[in-house]
Amino acid sequence: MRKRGFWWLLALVFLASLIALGYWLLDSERVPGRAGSAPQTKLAHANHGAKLASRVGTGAMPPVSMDSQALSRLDPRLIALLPDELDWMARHHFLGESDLAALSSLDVDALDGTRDARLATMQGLALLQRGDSSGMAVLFAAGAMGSLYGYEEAALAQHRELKERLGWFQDHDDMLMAHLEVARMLGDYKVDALVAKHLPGYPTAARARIVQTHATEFLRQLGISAQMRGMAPPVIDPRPAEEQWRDLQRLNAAGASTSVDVYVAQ
Amino acid sequence: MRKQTLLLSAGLLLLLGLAAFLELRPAAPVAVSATDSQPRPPLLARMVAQGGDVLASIFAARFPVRGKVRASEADSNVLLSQDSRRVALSQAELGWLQKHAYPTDAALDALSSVDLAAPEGSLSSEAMTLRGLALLQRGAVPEAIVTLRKAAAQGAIYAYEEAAIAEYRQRVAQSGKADDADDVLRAHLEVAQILGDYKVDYLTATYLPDYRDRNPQRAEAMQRYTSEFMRQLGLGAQALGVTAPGPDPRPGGEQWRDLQRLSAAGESARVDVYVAE
Repeated sequence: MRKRGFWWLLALVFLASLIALGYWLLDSERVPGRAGSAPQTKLAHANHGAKLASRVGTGAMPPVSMDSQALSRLDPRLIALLPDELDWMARHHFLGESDLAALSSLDVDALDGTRDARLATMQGLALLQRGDSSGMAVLFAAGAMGSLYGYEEAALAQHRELKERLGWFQDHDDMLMAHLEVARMLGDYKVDALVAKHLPGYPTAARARIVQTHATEFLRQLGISAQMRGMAPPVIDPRPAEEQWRDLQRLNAAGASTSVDVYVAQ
Repeated sequence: MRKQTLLLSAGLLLLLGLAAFLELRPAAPVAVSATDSQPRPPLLARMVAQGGDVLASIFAARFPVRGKVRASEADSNVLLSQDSRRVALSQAELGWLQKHAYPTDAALDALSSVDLAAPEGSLSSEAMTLRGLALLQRGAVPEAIVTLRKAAAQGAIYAYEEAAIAEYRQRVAQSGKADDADDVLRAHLEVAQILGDYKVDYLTATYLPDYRDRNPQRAEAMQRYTSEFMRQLGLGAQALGVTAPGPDPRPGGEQWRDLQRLSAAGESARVDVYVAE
């Protein structure tokens, strides 16, 4: 009789272990998630956010040697000349290569309402990549949470969309210029590259007053947006290595080149 | 015996199930809050249910007041005719003034007793502001400007404004009124506005009543100075090892504008003003 009781007990322990294992598998299966997958619980969303946050943490590879002329053909915002600059990029959520590569498989629904600036940046970019213009609002929200990269990408997306839908107006260029000025005031001098690419020949002097008016208002909106979220506002945090970057630009403009060590977020 | 075994097994199963549930359930929310270091705002739904102005509730939660608050009445036109940067029309606005180290009347009255021999190493933004103002009062203008800018790097917007005014006065006294000095002051006041203080309008009207920002050259200069002063503020904070300020709009903008509209219509009102004791 005692022997039978022992086997009963063993069977029940086994059963309980199976139930626990099943629960765990079910939970972890929801984590990677896919757009259009079965409705997910808030618990699963939160879990996804947390696990993704740990996965997208910035890691740095050793510096890569690169020709300065070749460097000028890349998006300079995603490249650092010093480890300090790479840290700054991580602080302001400039995404690494693996983050950008992961956008196409990102479960955007699972990140709805995230208060993590980095995840909001990825969600916004993924939405834009899929042709969903709501990504723009998500990126502006990420900007209010402290993602300078999210803010810059939101401004570019807004400019692109206005141009596609309404055609060209001076106002649209003024707004983009003001948004980029906001990014510059918060610390990113590399918006110069965006100005050169998206607003060549912009009448800087003639439009300075309107740009400043817009920029002050956009900064107020950023502050209000952070206050409404109960979060600290984005702060002024100058990006390191400005002088080195300007030297390279002068060198490139003079038609010369040199080999430089660069750091890229992974 | 068989009954006992069954009961024992069922109990064990329940315990195991409970342990598995507790082990798996709390992980997610805790992990997320670890990535969300910011405090959460009061629930909007709760605020709406409580009634009243939702925005005011958010501001009140964001800018709590330190110390006891005393409310008194004032004439709106009197407030508008003087420097009312340190006046609060709500408790939230008073909390904002405290957060950004706007000195109280009592602290300004006691400036002469500020000990300038004390080391400034670990002074708070409030104490640093008072030290800067005390230096200014005693005529040590360059030192005062440096000290006030250090306070500003820690978030003291009043100190930033006072440093800008002191620098402007000094420049005008030395070299006379010049366009460039006006551009510099205008840009400093724009920075203060960006940081949240819309009440710098009073300073603009007082010191730059005929500033011509419609002139493209002036506007461009002012814009360049503004971006540069923001950068310098950030660099100052980095050098001090503190978090730099960012845009943090002062509450009560709509109330102050209402008073201005009232004044423009030739009327005035009695309004409550709040002071911390």
